[in-house]
Amino acid sequence: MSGPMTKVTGRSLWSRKRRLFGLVSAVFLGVAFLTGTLGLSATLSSAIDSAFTTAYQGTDVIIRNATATTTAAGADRGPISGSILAAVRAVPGVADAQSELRGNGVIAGTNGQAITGMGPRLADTWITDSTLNPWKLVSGAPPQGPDQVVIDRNSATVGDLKVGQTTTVYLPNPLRVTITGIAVYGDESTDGGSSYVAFTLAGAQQHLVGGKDAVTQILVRGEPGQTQDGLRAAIARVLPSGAQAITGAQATSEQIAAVGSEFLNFFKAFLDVFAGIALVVAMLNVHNTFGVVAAQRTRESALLRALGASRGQILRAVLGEALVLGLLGSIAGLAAGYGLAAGLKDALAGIGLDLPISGVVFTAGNAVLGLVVGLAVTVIAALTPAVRSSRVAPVEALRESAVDTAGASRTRLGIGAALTAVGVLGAAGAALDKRSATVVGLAGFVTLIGVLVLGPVIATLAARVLGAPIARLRSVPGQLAGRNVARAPKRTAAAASALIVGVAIVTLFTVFGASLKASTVANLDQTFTGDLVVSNSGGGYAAGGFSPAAATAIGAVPGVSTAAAAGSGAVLLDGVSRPVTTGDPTQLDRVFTLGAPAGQLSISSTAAKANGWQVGTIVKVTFADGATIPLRVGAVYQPISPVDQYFLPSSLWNAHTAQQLDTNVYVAFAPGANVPAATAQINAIAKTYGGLTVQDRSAYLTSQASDVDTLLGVVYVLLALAIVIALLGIGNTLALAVYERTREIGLLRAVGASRAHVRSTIRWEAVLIALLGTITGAALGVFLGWAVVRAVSAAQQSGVVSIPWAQIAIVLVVGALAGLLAGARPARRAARLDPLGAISVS
Amino acid sequence: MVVVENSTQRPLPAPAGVSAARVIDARKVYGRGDSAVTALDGVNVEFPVGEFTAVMGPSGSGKSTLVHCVAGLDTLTSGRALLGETDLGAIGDKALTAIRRTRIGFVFQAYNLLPTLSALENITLPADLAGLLLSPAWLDEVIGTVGLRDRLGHRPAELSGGQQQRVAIARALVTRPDLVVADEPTGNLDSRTGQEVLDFLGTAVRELGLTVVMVTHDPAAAAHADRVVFLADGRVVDTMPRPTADLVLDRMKGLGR
Repeated sequence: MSGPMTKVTGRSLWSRKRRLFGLVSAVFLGVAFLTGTLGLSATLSSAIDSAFTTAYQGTDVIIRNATATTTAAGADRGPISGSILAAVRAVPGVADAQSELRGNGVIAGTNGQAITGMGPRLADTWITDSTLNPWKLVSGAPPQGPDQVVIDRNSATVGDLKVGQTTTVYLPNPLRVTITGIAVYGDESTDGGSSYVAFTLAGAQQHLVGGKDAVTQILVRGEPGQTQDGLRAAIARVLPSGAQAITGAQATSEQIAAVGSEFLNFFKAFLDVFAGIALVVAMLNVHNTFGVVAAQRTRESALLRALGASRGQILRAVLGEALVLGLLGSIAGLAAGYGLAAGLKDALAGIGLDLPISGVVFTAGNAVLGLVVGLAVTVIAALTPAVRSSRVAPVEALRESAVDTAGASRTRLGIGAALTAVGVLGAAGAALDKRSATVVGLAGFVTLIGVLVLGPVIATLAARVLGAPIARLRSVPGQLAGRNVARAPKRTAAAASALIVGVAIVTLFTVFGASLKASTVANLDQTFTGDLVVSNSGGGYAAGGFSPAAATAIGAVPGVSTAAAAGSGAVLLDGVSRPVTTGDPTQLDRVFTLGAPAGQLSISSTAAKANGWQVGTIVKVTFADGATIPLRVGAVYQPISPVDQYFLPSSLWNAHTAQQLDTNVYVAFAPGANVPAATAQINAIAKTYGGLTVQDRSAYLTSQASDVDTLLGVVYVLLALAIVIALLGIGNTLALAVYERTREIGLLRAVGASRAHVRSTIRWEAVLIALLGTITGAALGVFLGWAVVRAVSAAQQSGVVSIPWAQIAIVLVVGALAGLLAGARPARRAARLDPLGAISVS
Repeated sequence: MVVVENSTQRPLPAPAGVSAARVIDARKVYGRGDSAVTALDGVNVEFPVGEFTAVMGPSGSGKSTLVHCVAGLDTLTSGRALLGETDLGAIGDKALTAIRRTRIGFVFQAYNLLPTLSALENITLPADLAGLLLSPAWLDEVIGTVGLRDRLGHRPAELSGGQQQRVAIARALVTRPDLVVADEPTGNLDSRTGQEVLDFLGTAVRELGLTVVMVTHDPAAAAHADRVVFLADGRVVDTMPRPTADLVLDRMKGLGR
C-alpha cells in the first residue's frame, strides 16, 4: 500500500471512532461466539479423550469376554473366569497381570442419601499395581478386608465422607463399608461424572457375584521392550474360548469411538453446528455493518477520487481498514470467546451437565481458526461495499450521501420464492407422507435459505403490516420508524436475518420438545394403569439400579395389589445389539398393556416392523455372559414409552446376569386401600434402598417428560446466546443508522421533535426489526417443527403435534422487548444530538 | 386538542410596531481562552410583527448565529433573546422544543425534508409532532399557496430543488408561527428558481401576515425583504428599509465584502 493512502486509512479509522466501534464490535461478536462454542467443543473432546486415555494408560493388554451385547461407552461386558489369570501371568513377557471385577454400586453420603450423577455408579476392584490402576490415592490406604473401600474424591466431597468413616454402599443390597482411602482419576476428582467405590478383589467377588471367581477383565503390563501387539498375540494363545485379548491402545480408541455414538458426541456435534450458525450470524452482521459504512463513506471516497486517488487505491484503503478492524475484532473476540466458553460451561453445569474437566481447553487450532475466520469474514464482507466504494464517480462527492435503498430485485424475488416454495412443499410433503426426517431437514434448510433470500421482500411487507397500526395511532415516531425500516429493505432484512435463524431454531426445538412431551405423556397415560412408581434417584445415564428386594418389600405393604419390577439391559438379537426391558410379565401386565408371555421374547410393533418379525419368529438371543439361546417371539405389543422396543422376562435374563438390578417398581393399589398409609410405608422402604424416588401417577407422567426439558435447556442456553448476538447486531446497525441520519435527526429536532420523539422513533425501529425477525423466525420454526414431528412420528408411531402457543407468544414478546433493549443505546445517542450541531454536519 | 383554524377565523396579528422577536445586548462567544471567537458582540435588533427582514453580512459576521439564537436553536453567552415576551434563554429544552414546533418555522439551505415522508407528510410534520389537528381548510390554503397539489404524495427525492424548498416553506408556515426563520433558503438553487422561491415566500408571508427573518448573502434575495440588517464582526452596522438589489450590493461593498 502506498504511503499517502496508508495515512488516509489510518486517519479514516481514527477520525470515525464510532464507526470503528460498530465494525469492530460486529467482528468481535462473531469471533467470540465462534471461538466460544469451538472452545466448549474442544473442552468436551479433551474431557472425553483424557478420561479414556487415563483408563488404559499403563495397561498393555486387556483380557475380557469375547461377547459384547452393547457398544455403549462405559458398559462392561459379561464376566469371565478368574482362573485365566494364572495362565496369563505365566506368558513370557508379562510383568504383571491383575484381575478386575466391576459392577454397580451406589455410595450413600453421610446423610444417608445415595450419591447420584450423570455417569455410571461403579463398584470396582482396587488394582494394587499402581501402573495398571488409573486411580491414585490422595489420602488413606488401599482396602484390606472385604468391607473396606476406596472411594473417589468427588463422592467424598459431595457425600461429606472422610477416611476412617463407615457408610452404606448399595450393591444393590445395602452393605456397611469402611472408607480406607480417597482416590483421584488422573488429574480429576472422578472419572467423568461417575462415582467409584473399590473393594479388594475378594471383597468385590463376595459382594457382586456371590463369591464366584468371576472377573470383568484382566489388566496386563508387559516387561520393558514388549510391544503391545506382540504381547497380545502371545496372551491370546493361552485364552479359553469366550475370552479375548486386546491391546491398551485398542481399548482406548474403542472407548473413545463408543462415546462417539453417545450423548456427549451428539452434544459436541451440536456445538459444532452452532459454531457454524455463529459464523453465519457473524458474517451477516459484519457484512451488514460494512454495507452501512460504505454507504456513509461514499462522499469521502468520491472526494478522494476527485483529488486523484485511483480506484485501486480506494479499494486498498477500504480493504486495509477491513484488515485492521478484522484483526482488532478477532483478537478481542478470541479473548471474549475464552470467557464465553467458561461461562457456557458453567451454564451447562447449572442445568446438570457438568463437564468432567477443570478449566476450558483453548487449542491453538481454534485460536488460529478464530483469527482466520474473523479476518476472512471481515475482508469478504468489506469487499462488495469496497468495490462499490471504488466505483463511486467523483461527482458523487457533491451529492447527498447515498444509502443503499435498493429493494428486492426481480431475480432475488424469483430465486427466493422458488427456494421457499420448494422447501415448504418438500417439507410439508415429506411430513404428510411421514417420510424420513432427513428429507424434512433438507427441505427445512432450503426453506430457511429461501426466506433469507426473500428477506428484503418480507422486510418491506412487514414494515407495511407492522407499521400500519402504529401509524394509525397518529404517532409520528411510529410512522417514521415504519418508513425507516422500509427505506432500506436489504439492510433491514440483513439486520433481522440473524434473529430469524435463531428464533426459527428455538421455535423448532420448542415445538419438537412440546410434541415429544405430549406424545410421551399421552402414551403413558394410555398404557400405564398403575398408581405409583418407585425409581432410581438421579436416573439418567447409566445410573444403574437397585435391589430386587425393594419390589418384594413394596409388594408386602398392605393395600398394594401389584409391585411390578422392571430392569434394563442389552442383548444381541440375531447378532445386533438391542436394549431390553426385563421384568416379570405377569406382574407388569397388571400395570401396562403389555401381554408378554413367560419364557419368550416380546417385541413392540415398531420393532416388529423394523425387523420384519412377527409372533412365532425364532430369534437368536445372546447374553452378556456369551450364552446364545433361540427364543420365540411370543407377543407384539403397542409401544409403551417406559418399556424398550424389546422385552425379556426376568427369569430368562437373570440366569445370565451377574448382578441383578431393577430400575423401576410400578405399583398399583388394591381397591379400597389406605393410599396415604401405604405410600408412607413405600417411602420408608425407598429410603432404606438409598433414597429411591417415589412418584404418584401424575408426578410420574410429568417427570417422564422432564428429560426433554433438560435437553431443551442445553439448546436454549446456546440459542439464547445466538439471539443475544443477533440483537447486539441490530443495536449495532441502528447505531450506525443514527450516525448516518444525524442531519435528519437534527432537522426533526429543529422542526419541533422532542428528545422523546427521537428516542421513541429509534426504539420503534428496533422493535419493528426485532418483531420482523421473531415473527418470521417463529412462523418458520412452527412450520418446520410440525414437519419434523410428523416425519419423526413415522418411527415413533406416537406423533402428537403439540404447538406451545403460550411459549411462542413469550418468544415474540421477549423478542420485541429485547429489540427495545437493543435500540436503547442508539436511541439515547440520537436523542442527545444537539439539533444545530446535527443539522450543520457535513 | 388545539385546532389551527383558517385565516379568516385567526386572531388578528398584534398591532404594528410590536416586535415578534428581538435580541438585547446579545453576545455569543464560541470556545474559551485564546481560541475564543466572538460571533455576536452586543447586538440589539428587533423584528417587528408582519415584517420581512433580511440579515446580511460577510462570512463570519455572525448573521447565522444571530438567527439561530433568535430561533432558539442556539443559546446566547449573555444578553437576552425574546420571542414575543418569552425569554428563550430562561426556558429548558422541552419548552424550547414545543416553541420550535408551534411558534417558529424553519427553512434551511438544504436537507429540509425527511426523505421517508411524502411532501404532504413533511408539511404537516410539526403539527403532527405537536399533536395539532390542522383544519382541512387551512391546510388546503397552505397547499394552494405552495402550488404543489399534484405532487403531495411524492417523496422529496422525486421533487426538484425548488419544489423541495417550497415544501419546506409550506411546512414553516403551516402552524402559523410567530416567526419564520430562513437560513439561506435559496443558497442551493439556481438564480431563477431562487427568485421563484423568494417570490413565493414574500407573497405567502404578506398574505398570511407572518414575520420572517432571512439570512442571505445574495443582494437580489435581500431585495425581497422589507428591511435589511447588516452585520459585521458581530455587530449591527447598518439597517436599510425598502432595499433594492443595487443598494444592497453597494452597501455590502462598503462592508469590505
